[in-house]
Amino acid sequence: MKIIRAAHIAAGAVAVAMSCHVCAQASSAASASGTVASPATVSSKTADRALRKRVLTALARAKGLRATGITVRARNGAILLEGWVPEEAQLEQATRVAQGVPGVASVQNALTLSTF
Amino acid sequence: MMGAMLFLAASGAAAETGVTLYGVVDVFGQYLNNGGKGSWSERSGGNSGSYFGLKGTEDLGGGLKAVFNVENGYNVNNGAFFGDSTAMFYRQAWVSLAHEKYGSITFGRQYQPTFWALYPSDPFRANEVLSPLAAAATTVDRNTLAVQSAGGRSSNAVIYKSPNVGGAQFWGMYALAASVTQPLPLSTGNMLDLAATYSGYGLYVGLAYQNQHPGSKTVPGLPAMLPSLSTEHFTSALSYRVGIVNLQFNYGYHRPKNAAAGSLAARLNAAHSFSISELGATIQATPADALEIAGFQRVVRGVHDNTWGVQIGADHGLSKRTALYARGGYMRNNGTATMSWPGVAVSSPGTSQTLAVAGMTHRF
Repeated sequence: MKIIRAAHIAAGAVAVAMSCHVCAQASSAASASGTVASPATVSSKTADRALRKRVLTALARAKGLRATGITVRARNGAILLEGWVPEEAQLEQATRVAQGVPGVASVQNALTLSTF
Repeated sequence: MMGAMLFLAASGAAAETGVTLYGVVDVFGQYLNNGGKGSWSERSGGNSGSYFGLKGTEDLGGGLKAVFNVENGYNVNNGAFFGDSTAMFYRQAWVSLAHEKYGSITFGRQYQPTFWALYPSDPFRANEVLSPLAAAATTVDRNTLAVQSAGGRSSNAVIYKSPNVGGAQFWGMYALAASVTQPLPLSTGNMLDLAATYSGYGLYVGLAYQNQHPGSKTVPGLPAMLPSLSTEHFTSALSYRVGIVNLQFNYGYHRPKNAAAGSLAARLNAAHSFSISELGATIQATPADALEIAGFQRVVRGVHDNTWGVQIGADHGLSKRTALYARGGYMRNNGTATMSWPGVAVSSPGTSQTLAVAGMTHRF
Protein backbone atom coordinates (compact mmCIF):
# COMPACT_ATOMS: atom_id res chain seq x y z
CA MET A 1 0.00 0.00 0.00
CA LYS A 2 2.77 2.38 0.95
CA ILE A 3 4.49 1.80 -2.35
CA ILE A 4 1.28 2.42 -4.22
CA ARG A 5 0.70 5.59 -2.24
CA ALA A 6 4.24 6.79 -2.91
CA ALA A 7 3.65 6.05 -6.58
CA HIS A 8 0.44 8.08 -6.48
CA ILE A 9 2.19 11.00 -4.85
CA ALA A 10 5.01 10.77 -7.33
CA ALA A 11 2.53 10.58 -10.20
CA GLY A 12 0.70 13.55 -8.73
CA ALA A 13 3.89 15.55 -8.46
CA VAL A 14 4.78 14.66 -12.03
CA ALA A 15 1.29 15.63 -13.18
CA VAL A 16 1.56 18.96 -11.37
CA ALA A 17 5.00 19.57 -12.81
CA MET A 18 3.85 18.61 -16.29
CA SER A 19 0.76 20.76 -16.07
CA CYS A 20 2.85 23.76 -15.00
CA HIS A 21 5.09 23.08 -17.96
CA VAL A 22 2.07 22.91 -20.27
CA CYS A 23 0.69 26.17 -18.86
CA ALA A 24 4.00 27.88 -19.44
CA GLN A 25 4.19 26.56 -22.98
CA ALA A 26 0.64 27.48 -23.83
CA SER A 27 0.92 30.99 -22.42
CA SER A 28 4.15 31.67 -24.29
CA ALA A 29 2.50 30.38 -27.47
CA ALA A 30 -0.47 32.67 -26.84
CA SER A 31 1.72 35.72 -26.25
CA ALA A 32 3.71 34.95 -29.39
CA SER A 33 0.56 35.03 -31.51
CA GLY A 34 -1.03 37.80 -29.39
CA THR A 35 -0.19 40.62 -31.77
CA VAL A 36 -2.24 39.19 -34.63
CA ALA A 37 -5.62 37.72 -33.67
CA SER A 38 -5.79 35.07 -36.36
CA PRO A 39 -9.19 33.47 -37.00
CA ALA A 40 -7.70 30.07 -36.17
CA THR A 41 -6.78 31.22 -32.63
CA VAL A 42 -10.24 32.66 -32.06
CA SER A 43 -12.02 29.53 -33.22
CA SER A 44 -9.78 27.25 -31.15
CA LYS A 45 -10.48 29.41 -28.08
CA THR A 46 -14.21 29.09 -28.75
CA ALA A 47 -13.79 25.35 -29.19
CA ASP A 48 -11.84 25.12 -25.94
CA ARG A 49 -14.52 27.04 -24.10
CA ALA A 50 -17.22 24.69 -25.40
CA LEU A 51 -15.06 21.67 -24.62
CA ARG A 52 -14.50 22.92 -21.06
CA LYS A 53 -18.28 23.17 -20.55
CA ARG A 54 -18.79 19.65 -21.91
CA VAL A 55 -16.16 18.26 -19.56
CA LEU A 56 -17.70 20.12 -16.57
CA THR A 57 -21.10 18.70 -17.46
CA ALA A 58 -19.77 15.16 -17.92
CA LEU A 59 -18.07 15.38 -14.50
CA ALA A 60 -21.26 16.68 -12.88
CA ARG A 61 -23.28 13.80 -14.36
CA ALA A 62 -20.85 11.02 -13.43
CA LYS A 63 -22.24 8.66 -10.81
CA GLY A 64 -20.23 8.46 -7.61
CA LEU A 65 -18.13 11.53 -8.43
CA ARG A 66 -18.47 14.73 -6.41
CA ALA A 67 -17.47 17.30 -8.99
CA THR A 68 -18.36 20.58 -7.29
CA GLY A 69 -14.70 21.24 -6.36
CA ILE A 70 -13.21 20.59 -9.81
CA THR A 71 -11.85 23.41 -11.99
CA VAL A 72 -11.38 22.55 -15.67
CA ARG A 73 -8.97 24.26 -18.06
CA ALA A 74 -8.91 23.48 -21.78
CA ARG A 75 -6.14 24.43 -24.23
CA ASN A 76 -6.28 23.09 -27.78
CA GLY A 77 -8.17 20.04 -26.58
CA ALA A 78 -5.77 19.34 -23.70
CA ILE A 79 -7.67 19.21 -20.40
CA LEU A 80 -6.24 20.14 -17.01
CA LEU A 81 -8.25 19.13 -13.92
CA GLU A 82 -7.58 21.18 -10.76
CA GLY A 83 -9.26 21.56 -7.39
CA TRP A 84 -10.42 18.73 -5.19
CA VAL A 85 -12.49 15.56 -4.78
CA PRO A 86 -13.28 13.79 -1.49
CA GLU A 87 -11.97 10.28 -2.22
CA GLU A 88 -8.89 8.74 -3.79
CA ALA A 89 -10.96 6.61 -6.19
CA GLN A 90 -12.56 9.78 -7.54
CA LEU A 91 -9.15 11.15 -8.58
CA GLU A 92 -8.84 8.47 -11.22
CA GLN A 93 -12.54 8.48 -12.03
CA ALA A 94 -12.34 12.19 -12.91
CA THR A 95 -9.55 11.48 -15.40
CA ARG A 96 -11.54 8.61 -16.97
CA VAL A 97 -14.70 10.74 -17.29
CA ALA A 98 -12.78 13.63 -18.88
CA GLN A 99 -11.04 11.25 -21.31
CA GLY A 100 -14.46 9.98 -22.42
CA VAL A 101 -15.64 13.40 -23.60
CA PRO A 102 -15.50 13.74 -27.41
CA GLY A 103 -12.87 16.28 -28.49
CA VAL A 104 -10.59 15.76 -25.49
CA ALA A 105 -7.06 15.12 -26.73
CA SER A 106 -5.37 14.56 -23.37
CA VAL A 107 -6.10 14.85 -19.66
CA GLN A 108 -3.77 16.02 -16.91
CA ASN A 109 -4.95 15.53 -13.37
CA ALA A 110 -3.75 17.93 -10.66
CA LEU A 111 -6.69 17.22 -8.31
CA THR A 112 -6.09 17.02 -4.59
CA LEU A 113 -8.12 15.42 -1.79
CA SER A 114 -10.62 17.24 0.39
CA THR A 115 -13.26 16.40 2.99
CA PHE A 116 -16.43 17.01 0.90
CA MET B 1 -5.46 1.62 5.64
CA MET B 2 -2.94 -1.19 5.67
CA GLY B 3 -3.66 -2.10 9.29
CA ALA B 4 -7.38 -2.37 8.64
CA MET B 5 -6.77 -4.52 5.56
CA LEU B 6 -4.46 -6.85 7.47
CA PHE B 7 -6.98 -7.14 10.27
CA LEU B 8 -9.67 -8.08 7.79
CA ALA B 9 -7.45 -10.58 6.07
CA ALA B 10 -6.50 -12.12 9.40
CA SER B 11 -10.09 -12.42 10.57
CA GLY B 12 -11.03 -14.12 7.33
CA ALA B 13 -13.60 -11.54 6.29
CA ALA B 14 -15.32 -11.96 2.95
CA ALA B 15 -13.11 -11.17 -0.02
CA GLU B 16 -15.56 -8.67 -1.51
CA THR B 17 -15.46 -6.51 1.60
CA GLY B 18 -13.15 -3.52 1.82
CA VAL B 19 -12.57 -1.26 4.80
CA THR B 20 -10.68 2.00 4.62
CA LEU B 21 -9.13 3.91 7.50
CA TYR B 22 -8.87 7.57 6.61
CA GLY B 23 -8.62 10.95 8.27
CA VAL B 24 -7.35 14.50 8.56
CA VAL B 25 -4.85 16.15 10.89
CA ASP B 26 -5.31 19.90 10.70
CA VAL B 27 -3.67 22.46 12.98
CA PHE B 28 -3.43 26.24 12.90
CA GLY B 29 -2.17 29.21 14.89
CA GLN B 30 -4.69 31.94 15.47
CA TYR B 31 -4.63 35.62 16.32
CA LEU B 32 -8.03 36.94 17.34
CA ASN B 33 -8.93 40.51 18.14
CA ASN B 34 -12.18 40.33 20.10
CA GLY B 35 -13.52 43.85 20.53
CA GLY B 36 -10.06 45.36 20.97
CA LYS B 37 -8.65 42.51 23.04
CA GLY B 38 -6.05 40.37 21.27
CA SER B 39 -5.26 36.72 21.97
CA TRP B 40 -3.12 33.95 20.49
CA SER B 41 -4.04 30.28 20.36
CA GLU B 42 -3.21 26.97 18.73
CA ARG B 43 -6.32 25.28 17.36
CA SER B 44 -7.55 22.39 15.24
CA GLY B 45 -9.49 22.03 12.00
CA GLY B 46 -9.33 25.42 10.27
CA ASN B 47 -9.24 24.08 6.70
CA SER B 48 -11.06 20.81 7.34
CA GLY B 49 -12.03 19.47 10.74
CA SER B 50 -9.52 16.98 12.23
CA TYR B 51 -11.02 13.49 12.17
CA PHE B 52 -10.44 9.86 11.49
CA GLY B 53 -12.94 7.36 10.22
CA LEU B 54 -13.63 3.91 8.92
CA LYS B 55 -15.72 3.26 5.85
CA GLY B 56 -16.47 0.24 3.80
CA THR B 57 -18.72 -1.37 1.24
CA GLU B 58 -19.92 -4.86 0.53
CA ASP B 59 -21.25 -5.81 -2.87
CA LEU B 60 -24.56 -7.62 -2.38
CA GLY B 61 -25.11 -8.34 -6.07
CA GLY B 62 -27.82 -7.08 -8.43
CA GLY B 63 -26.53 -3.50 -8.22
CA LEU B 64 -27.03 -3.44 -4.46
CA LYS B 65 -24.34 -2.52 -1.91
CA ALA B 66 -24.13 -2.26 1.86
CA VAL B 67 -22.12 0.80 2.88
CA PHE B 68 -21.05 2.05 6.30
CA ASN B 69 -19.16 5.03 7.67
CA VAL B 70 -18.15 5.99 11.21
CA GLU B 71 -16.16 9.20 11.67
CA ASN B 72 -14.72 10.70 14.84
CA GLY B 73 -13.89 14.35 15.38
CA TYR B 74 -10.92 15.47 17.49
CA ASN B 75 -8.73 18.45 18.27
CA VAL B 76 -5.12 17.88 17.25
CA ASN B 77 -3.78 20.73 19.43
CA ASN B 78 -4.70 18.93 22.67
CA GLY B 79 -5.95 15.47 21.67
CA ALA B 80 -9.47 16.06 22.99
CA PHE B 81 -12.70 15.01 21.29
CA PHE B 82 -14.21 17.65 19.02
CA GLY B 83 -17.53 19.15 20.11
CA ASP B 84 -18.80 16.42 22.42
CA SER B 85 -16.51 14.23 24.57
CA THR B 86 -19.33 11.68 25.04
CA ALA B 87 -19.64 11.07 21.29
CA MET B 88 -17.21 8.54 19.84
CA PHE B 89 -18.31 9.36 16.28
CA TYR B 90 -19.34 13.01 16.52
CA ARG B 91 -19.14 13.66 12.79
CA GLN B 92 -20.84 10.68 11.17
CA ALA B 93 -22.09 7.20 12.06
CA TRP B 94 -24.31 5.46 9.55
CA VAL B 95 -25.09 2.34 7.58
CA SER B 96 -26.73 2.34 4.18
CA LEU B 97 -28.26 0.23 1.46
CA ALA B 98 -27.33 1.71 -1.90
CA HIS B 99 -28.66 0.71 -5.31
CA GLU B 100 -27.03 2.09 -8.44
CA LYS B 101 -30.39 2.71 -10.16
CA TYR B 102 -32.75 3.54 -7.28
CA GLY B 103 -30.57 5.54 -4.91
CA SER B 104 -29.66 4.91 -1.30
CA ILE B 105 -31.30 4.83 2.10
CA THR B 106 -29.08 5.64 5.07
CA PHE B 107 -29.64 5.30 8.81
CA GLY B 108 -27.78 7.02 11.66
CA ARG B 109 -26.02 10.29 12.34
CA GLN B 110 -25.32 12.08 9.08
CA TYR B 111 -25.10 15.31 7.13
CA GLN B 112 -28.45 16.96 6.46
CA PRO B 113 -29.75 17.47 2.91
CA THR B 114 -29.57 21.23 3.61
CA PHE B 115 -25.83 20.85 4.22
CA TRP B 116 -25.26 19.00 0.94
CA ALA B 117 -27.17 21.69 -0.96
CA LEU B 118 -25.31 24.55 0.73
CA TYR B 119 -21.64 23.61 1.04
CA PRO B 120 -20.65 23.88 -2.69
CA SER B 121 -21.65 27.57 -2.57
CA ASP B 122 -19.29 28.46 0.32
CA PRO B 123 -15.64 29.29 -0.54
CA PHE B 124 -14.74 28.00 2.96
CA ARG B 125 -16.62 24.71 2.39
CA ALA B 126 -18.91 25.15 5.42
CA ASN B 127 -15.96 24.40 7.75
CA GLU B 128 -17.37 24.34 11.27
CA VAL B 129 -14.36 26.03 12.89
CA LEU B 130 -13.64 29.02 10.64
CA SER B 131 -16.27 29.45 7.89
CA PRO B 132 -18.51 32.53 8.00
CA LEU B 133 -21.54 30.26 7.44
CA ALA B 134 -20.85 28.26 10.59
CA ALA B 135 -20.12 31.50 12.45
CA ALA B 136 -23.47 33.01 11.45
CA ALA B 137 -25.43 29.82 12.19
CA THR B 138 -23.96 29.35 15.69
CA THR B 139 -24.14 32.98 16.83
CA VAL B 140 -25.56 33.35 20.35
CA ASP B 141 -27.77 36.38 19.80
CA ARG B 142 -30.39 37.53 22.32
CA ASN B 143 -32.80 38.37 19.48
CA THR B 144 -32.73 34.83 18.11
CA LEU B 145 -32.14 32.73 21.26
CA ALA B 146 -35.39 30.78 20.83
CA VAL B 147 -34.72 30.05 17.13
CA GLN B 148 -33.12 26.70 16.30
CA SER B 149 -30.09 26.47 14.03
CA ALA B 150 -29.92 23.85 11.26
CA GLY B 151 -26.68 22.39 12.60
CA GLY B 152 -25.44 20.57 9.50
CA ARG B 153 -25.79 17.05 10.91
CA SER B 154 -28.68 15.09 12.42
CA SER B 155 -28.75 12.11 14.76
CA ASN B 156 -31.50 9.45 14.60
CA ALA B 157 -31.92 10.22 10.92
CA VAL B 158 -33.10 8.36 7.82
CA ILE B 159 -32.07 9.84 4.49
CA TYR B 160 -33.09 8.86 0.98
CA LYS B 161 -30.69 10.05 -1.70
CA SER B 162 -31.58 9.71 -5.36
CA PRO B 163 -29.04 8.64 -7.95
CA ASN B 164 -27.43 11.39 -10.01
CA VAL B 165 -29.69 11.81 -13.05
CA GLY B 166 -28.19 14.12 -15.67
CA GLY B 167 -26.56 16.23 -12.97
CA ALA B 168 -29.71 16.47 -10.81
CA GLN B 169 -30.03 14.90 -7.38
CA PHE B 170 -32.66 14.80 -4.64
CA TRP B 171 -32.38 14.21 -0.86
CA GLY B 172 -35.11 13.62 1.71
CA MET B 173 -34.49 13.25 5.45
CA TYR B 174 -36.58 12.57 8.50
CA ALA B 175 -34.83 12.67 11.87
CA LEU B 176 -36.34 11.79 15.23
CA ALA B 177 -35.83 13.94 18.32
CA ALA B 178 -32.32 13.96 19.81
CA SER B 179 -30.57 15.26 22.91
CA VAL B 180 -26.94 16.05 23.65
CA THR B 181 -25.20 17.22 26.84
CA GLN B 182 -22.19 18.94 25.22
CA PRO B 183 -21.01 21.53 24.50
CA LEU B 184 -24.23 22.62 26.26
CA PRO B 185 -27.38 20.54 26.91
CA LEU B 186 -29.61 20.77 23.82
CA SER B 187 -32.69 18.91 22.59
CA THR B 188 -33.98 19.03 19.05
CA GLY B 189 -37.43 17.93 17.94
CA ASN B 190 -38.21 15.75 14.95
CA MET B 191 -37.11 17.31 11.70
CA LEU B 192 -37.86 17.10 8.01
CA ASP B 193 -35.29 18.15 5.45
CA LEU B 194 -35.61 18.17 1.66
CA ALA B 195 -33.04 19.26 -0.91
CA ALA B 196 -32.54 19.29 -4.67
CA THR B 197 -29.36 20.14 -6.54
CA TYR B 198 -28.36 20.54 -10.16
CA SER B 199 -24.85 20.66 -11.55
CA GLY B 200 -23.82 21.09 -15.20
CA TYR B 201 -22.33 23.52 -17.75
CA GLY B 202 -20.30 25.12 -14.93
CA LEU B 203 -23.50 26.00 -13.06
CA TYR B 204 -24.50 24.72 -9.62
CA VAL B 205 -27.92 25.27 -8.04
CA GLY B 206 -29.02 23.96 -4.66
CA LEU B 207 -32.37 24.45 -2.92
CA ALA B 208 -33.30 23.11 0.51
CA TYR B 209 -36.07 23.28 3.08
CA GLN B 210 -35.84 22.15 6.68
CA ASN B 211 -38.58 22.10 9.30
CA GLN B 212 -37.58 21.53 12.93
CA HIS B 213 -40.12 20.74 15.62
CA PRO B 214 -39.73 22.49 18.99
CA GLY B 215 -36.84 21.56 21.28
CA SER B 216 -35.01 23.17 24.14
CA LYS B 217 -31.56 24.61 24.72
CA THR B 218 -29.26 25.89 27.41
CA VAL B 219 -28.46 29.58 27.29
CA PRO B 220 -25.63 30.77 29.54
CA GLY B 221 -27.12 33.21 32.05
CA LEU B 222 -30.64 31.74 32.02
CA PRO B 223 -31.66 29.73 35.12
CA ALA B 224 -33.47 26.99 33.16
CA MET B 225 -33.43 25.51 29.65
CA LEU B 226 -35.11 27.73 27.08
CA PRO B 227 -37.84 26.03 25.02
CA SER B 228 -36.87 26.62 21.39
CA LEU B 229 -39.52 27.21 18.77
CA SER B 230 -40.42 25.21 15.72
CA THR B 231 -38.16 26.65 13.02
CA GLU B 232 -38.16 26.59 9.23
CA HIS B 233 -34.93 26.99 7.26
CA PHE B 234 -35.07 28.04 3.59
CA THR B 235 -31.76 27.67 1.80
CA SER B 236 -30.66 28.59 -1.71
CA ALA B 237 -27.20 28.13 -3.16
CA LEU B 238 -25.69 29.10 -6.49
CA SER B 239 -22.33 28.92 -8.13
CA TYR B 240 -21.02 29.49 -11.63
CA ARG B 241 -17.59 28.73 -13.04
CA VAL B 242 -15.91 31.34 -15.26
CA GLY B 243 -12.52 29.97 -16.26
CA ILE B 244 -10.51 29.43 -13.08
CA VAL B 245 -12.99 31.41 -10.95
CA ASN B 246 -15.95 29.79 -9.20
CA LEU B 247 -18.43 32.55 -8.27
CA GLN B 248 -20.46 31.48 -5.24
CA PHE B 249 -23.59 32.79 -3.56
CA ASN B 250 -25.95 31.53 -0.88
CA TYR B 251 -28.90 32.87 1.03
CA GLY B 252 -30.67 31.26 3.96
CA TYR B 253 -33.79 32.48 5.73
CA HIS B 254 -34.51 31.10 9.21
CA ARG B 255 -38.04 31.61 10.47
CA PRO B 256 -39.37 30.49 13.88
CA LYS B 257 -43.07 29.97 14.63
CA ASN B 258 -44.50 32.87 16.62
CA ALA B 259 -43.81 32.53 20.34
CA ALA B 260 -46.96 31.89 22.39
CA ALA B 261 -48.04 34.94 24.43
CA GLY B 262 -46.50 34.82 27.89
CA SER B 263 -43.95 32.13 26.95
CA LEU B 264 -40.30 32.57 27.89
CA ALA B 265 -39.37 33.10 24.23
CA ALA B 266 -41.98 35.88 23.96
CA ARG B 267 -41.00 37.52 27.24
CA LEU B 268 -37.34 37.54 26.20
CA ASN B 269 -38.33 38.83 22.74
CA ALA B 270 -35.97 36.13 21.42
CA ALA B 271 -37.91 34.79 18.43
CA HIS B 272 -36.85 37.00 15.52
CA SER B 273 -36.36 35.59 12.04
CA PHE B 274 -32.94 36.10 10.53
CA SER B 275 -31.13 35.64 7.25
CA ILE B 276 -27.57 34.69 6.37
CA SER B 277 -26.18 35.61 2.97
CA GLU B 278 -22.77 35.18 1.46
CA LEU B 279 -21.23 36.22 -1.86
CA GLY B 280 -17.77 35.03 -2.74
CA ALA B 281 -15.41 33.23 -5.06
CA THR B 282 -12.86 30.46 -5.16
CA ILE B 283 -10.00 31.15 -7.55
CA GLN B 284 -7.80 28.27 -8.71
CA ALA B 285 -4.74 30.41 -9.35
CA THR B 286 -2.40 27.49 -10.11
CA PRO B 287 -2.82 23.71 -9.79
CA ALA B 288 -1.39 24.03 -6.25
CA ASP B 289 -2.92 27.33 -5.18
CA ALA B 290 -6.52 28.23 -4.42
CA LEU B 291 -7.67 31.62 -3.15
CA GLU B 292 -10.97 32.18 -1.37
CA ILE B 293 -12.84 35.40 -0.77
CA ALA B 294 -16.28 36.08 0.70
CA GLY B 295 -18.44 38.92 1.94
CA PHE B 296 -21.29 37.94 4.26
CA GLN B 297 -24.15 39.30 6.32
CA ARG B 298 -26.30 38.11 9.20
CA VAL B 299 -29.45 40.21 9.34
CA VAL B 300 -32.04 39.89 12.12
CA ARG B 301 -35.57 40.93 11.20
CA GLY B 302 -37.38 43.51 13.30
CA VAL B 303 -34.30 44.88 15.09
CA HIS B 304 -31.21 46.87 14.10
CA ASP B 305 -28.66 44.35 15.37
CA ASN B 306 -26.90 43.09 12.26
CA THR B 307 -23.47 41.88 11.27
CA TRP B 308 -21.45 42.07 8.07
CA GLY B 309 -17.99 40.79 7.38
CA VAL B 310 -15.35 39.74 4.89
CA GLN B 311 -13.04 36.75 4.87
CA ILE B 312 -10.13 35.76 2.65
CA GLY B 313 -8.16 32.56 2.43
CA ALA B 314 -5.30 30.89 0.59
CA ASP B 315 -4.55 27.18 0.26
CA HIS B 316 -1.21 25.98 -1.06
CA GLY B 317 -0.93 22.27 -1.82
CA LEU B 318 2.42 20.60 -1.10
CA SER B 319 1.03 17.28 -2.40
CA LYS B 320 -2.35 15.69 -3.01
CA ARG B 321 -2.63 15.13 0.76
CA THR B 322 -0.80 17.98 2.47
CA ALA B 323 -1.45 21.71 2.27
CA LEU B 324 -0.57 24.96 4.00
CA TYR B 325 -3.31 27.50 4.45
CA ALA B 326 -4.07 30.99 5.76
CA ARG B 327 -7.31 32.78 6.63
CA GLY B 328 -8.06 36.37 7.51
CA GLY B 329 -11.41 37.86 8.45
CA TYR B 330 -13.20 40.89 9.81
CA MET B 331 -16.71 41.17 11.24
CA ARG B 332 -18.52 44.37 12.10
CA ASN B 333 -21.33 43.99 14.68
CA ASN B 334 -23.89 46.78 14.52
CA GLY B 335 -26.26 47.65 17.37
CA THR B 336 -25.95 44.92 19.99
CA ALA B 337 -25.11 42.12 17.52
CA THR B 338 -22.76 39.42 18.87
CA MET B 339 -21.41 37.44 15.92
CA SER B 340 -17.89 36.04 15.87
CA TRP B 341 -16.22 32.84 14.64
CA PRO B 342 -17.69 29.60 16.03
CA GLY B 343 -16.99 29.07 19.73
CA VAL B 344 -15.87 32.67 20.33
CA ALA B 345 -17.94 34.63 22.85
CA VAL B 346 -17.73 38.34 21.98
CA SER B 347 -16.21 40.50 24.72
CA SER B 348 -19.27 42.74 24.54
CA PRO B 349 -22.18 43.29 22.10
CA GLY B 350 -21.59 45.54 19.11
CA THR B 351 -17.82 44.98 18.96
CA SER B 352 -15.86 44.19 15.81
CA GLN B 353 -13.90 40.96 15.44
CA THR B 354 -10.67 40.35 13.52
CA LEU B 355 -9.01 37.02 12.85
CA ALA B 356 -5.76 35.91 11.20
CA VAL B 357 -4.60 32.29 11.06
CA ALA B 358 -1.98 30.14 9.38
CA GLY B 359 -2.09 26.36 9.42
CA MET B 360 -1.27 23.01 7.92
CA THR B 361 -3.60 20.21 6.96
CA HIS B 362 -2.61 16.62 6.25
CA ARG B 363 -4.81 13.80 4.99
CA PHE B 364 -4.33 10.05 5.24
